[in-house]
Amino acid sequence: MALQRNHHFLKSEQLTFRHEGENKPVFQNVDFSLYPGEAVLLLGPSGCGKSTLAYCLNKLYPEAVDGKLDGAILYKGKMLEEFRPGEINQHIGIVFQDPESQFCMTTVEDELAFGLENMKTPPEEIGNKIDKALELVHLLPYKHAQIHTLSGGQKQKLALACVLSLKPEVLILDEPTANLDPASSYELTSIIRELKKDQSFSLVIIEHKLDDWIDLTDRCLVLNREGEILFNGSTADCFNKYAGELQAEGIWLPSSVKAGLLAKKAGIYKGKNLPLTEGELIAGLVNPNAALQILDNRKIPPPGLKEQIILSVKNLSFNKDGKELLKNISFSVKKGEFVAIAGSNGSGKTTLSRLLAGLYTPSNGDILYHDRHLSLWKEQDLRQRLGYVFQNPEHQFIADTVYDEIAFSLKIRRMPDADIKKMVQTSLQQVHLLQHADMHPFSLSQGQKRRLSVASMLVNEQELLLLDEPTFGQDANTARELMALMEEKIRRGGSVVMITHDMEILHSCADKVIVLSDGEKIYEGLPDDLWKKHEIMKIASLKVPYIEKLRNDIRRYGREGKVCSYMNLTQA
Amino acid sequence: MLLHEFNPSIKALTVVVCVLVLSIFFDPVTPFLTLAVTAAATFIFGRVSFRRWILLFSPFIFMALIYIWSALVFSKAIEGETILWTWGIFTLTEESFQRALSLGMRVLSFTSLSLLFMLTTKPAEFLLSLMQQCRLPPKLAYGIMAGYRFLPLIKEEFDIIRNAHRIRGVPKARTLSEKLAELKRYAVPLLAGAIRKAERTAMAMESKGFTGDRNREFYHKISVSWKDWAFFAFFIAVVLASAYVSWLFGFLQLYNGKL
Repeated sequence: MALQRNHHFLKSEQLTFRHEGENKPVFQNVDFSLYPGEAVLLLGPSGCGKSTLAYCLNKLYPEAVDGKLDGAILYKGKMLEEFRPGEINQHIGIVFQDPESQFCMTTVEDELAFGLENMKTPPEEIGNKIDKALELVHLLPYKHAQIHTLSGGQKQKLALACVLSLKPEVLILDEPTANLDPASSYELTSIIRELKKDQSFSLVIIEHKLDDWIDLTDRCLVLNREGEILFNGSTADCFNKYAGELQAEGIWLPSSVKAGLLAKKAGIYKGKNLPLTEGELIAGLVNPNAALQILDNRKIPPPGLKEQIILSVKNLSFNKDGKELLKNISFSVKKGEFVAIAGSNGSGKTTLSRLLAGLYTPSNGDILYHDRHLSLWKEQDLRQRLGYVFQNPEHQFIADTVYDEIAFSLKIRRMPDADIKKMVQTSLQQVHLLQHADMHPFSLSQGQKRRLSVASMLVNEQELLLLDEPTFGQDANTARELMALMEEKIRRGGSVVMITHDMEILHSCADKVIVLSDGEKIYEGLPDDLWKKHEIMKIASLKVPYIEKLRNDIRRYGREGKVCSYMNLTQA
Repeated sequence: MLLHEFNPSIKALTVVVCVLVLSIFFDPVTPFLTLAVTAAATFIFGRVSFRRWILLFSPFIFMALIYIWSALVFSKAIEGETILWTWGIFTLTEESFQRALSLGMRVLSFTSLSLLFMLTTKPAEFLLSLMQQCRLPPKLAYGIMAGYRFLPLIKEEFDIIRNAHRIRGVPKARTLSEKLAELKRYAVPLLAGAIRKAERTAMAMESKGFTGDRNREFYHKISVSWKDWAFFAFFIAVVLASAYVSWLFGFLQLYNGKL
């Protein structure tokens, strides 16, 4: 696409933002321009100020927080400060990450009307505009629905419709798919892709998972840990030249780039540039079939997996407020096993995990932990042998310092102080939090909070660890460290049950996958077999992991011959 | 014609004025008749089921009974009153019985009027009407509306935090000081969560161009027509007619600081 380089319309000059009372800026000296019709990917490790920058561009910051913004932002040559309150929001719209807290009305129609009313749209035009915006995101049948009855994916589509109804020239997407299951997230990206064709807005995208976005973007702006610009240029250059640096900063790479990097290191990738798409990757591989084996990160099952069952669930059902949330579920977890639970948003995964942790009481059926009914366990004994990591790490912090957070459960066990000290230090070292030992848990960064919440659950050496989407919203480094901790846990004979939307984790770590849909178990077995069950994948809103997609495409490539298959692949 | 269709602000005004007018009188019959008409209107024109209504109404019956009871037991017999019954130090006179009944009926009639409003008005429409008819600042109105959505979430959050603490093996709080410490432990994450949610919602509202400006367009226009005033007049008339009937039967008394 030819860009009109000469007519940038959004521009920042030497932008620096500090929270009040803090010396270290969130980001600093950011020079950045946005051109009409362009799509820019804003990348950076978690906590580097991507969202803050986005809020500044939209004039939400610094007004909404105590902070100071230095430098200038110009929109069409006019300083942002010169715009009347609320005026800029018509031109620059934003979709936020959390589907729960971006609405203030109760019905879909009213929510859309709210924005249009704010812009002083004549009431007789509002109805028509609402319909148009809803049609763009395929939500028209839900016009009169209550917002709280919508699914996460639908809520994000509604948020998008709200912004689109104002006809913005710039659309900022702040991790819009972070809370969505794979299929909903794919649907949202497809809608945005579609819209991008017909509508003439520019896009600023903040995302962790890049695969669905990469072919949509023209340019990348990368911030490093210090909040300075690391790179600003074309997407291809970004990943070709800086893939290594990006990885070191903890930035998620698109799967093809990551695979390409791996292949290059192994000497089986002959392409000059790192591949951005699957097609490029396959074209560049010396021997695609052999490469699959090298690229495949599926773990090798440890020899002689012990057959000792530590948790077994029999005909489990759970009702709440007259609704059947879980129906007749049975399965078991063996010692040293990694069990993943997958399924679409609202399929009952979290409810199941709470039942397994003994937080809810089953309506029907039994849960046996070490051949003993969960309800017969003494609370304290159970907690020392079974850990649970919540989706939101903040929920489980109970002490005033990071140190006490880890020491807490050890103190309950009445361990001698010297032992506690030693154990806490080892534990904090393991998750790189030793230098923050005296801080309040709430003042840690997102990734640090996550690591602390896991560490506090690992210190007791519980035999079974339940985790509710622990990698959600984390940068690549944190996610990798987290999975390393899990591996370590398994190696030492522990078992892990993890709820996750991440198909790559499912593929690379899980011994067994359980898929839920509408409170029923629709699959239990190896992940490899799951990818072949297309019906189940569709019902549960799952997507095949990258390596599996690659395998299928390479197969097709082999069948159809080199020339045409490359075309097909890039189209697919 | 449904009660839901009337202008919420006028409906609220009607309830307030009826309550004020009822306060002038102090006899059991006036509030009882008003109560009967109000309840009937709620069922017939409000399409409210009796079950739902009585569920909300019953606590007030209980309260009214307590009023009556205490007024009976602790009232002093005044010279010249007709004594109905004496037992030891307790004396029940006809007049004090009537006073107690009046008080109980008054409570119930107020309740029935409030229920008529509550059960036939959508909170969102009431707020819209307050903005459009009573110049309530939009900042306040939309703030309340957004907060209203959060109420169920707070309970959910509270449950999650309690579970999270259980998971950590926190022993059950038994003594008062333990319970206080527990409350403190819950309060920090609960507040932190609430503040973060509120901040996010506020930002989302601002990002849609909300400034709190009083000059705004409304997609849903809540209008006032002669029907709304007719509604107002009807209910005032009901109260006055009740008083008239009460007067016909010789019950009517004005309130002059009794009890």
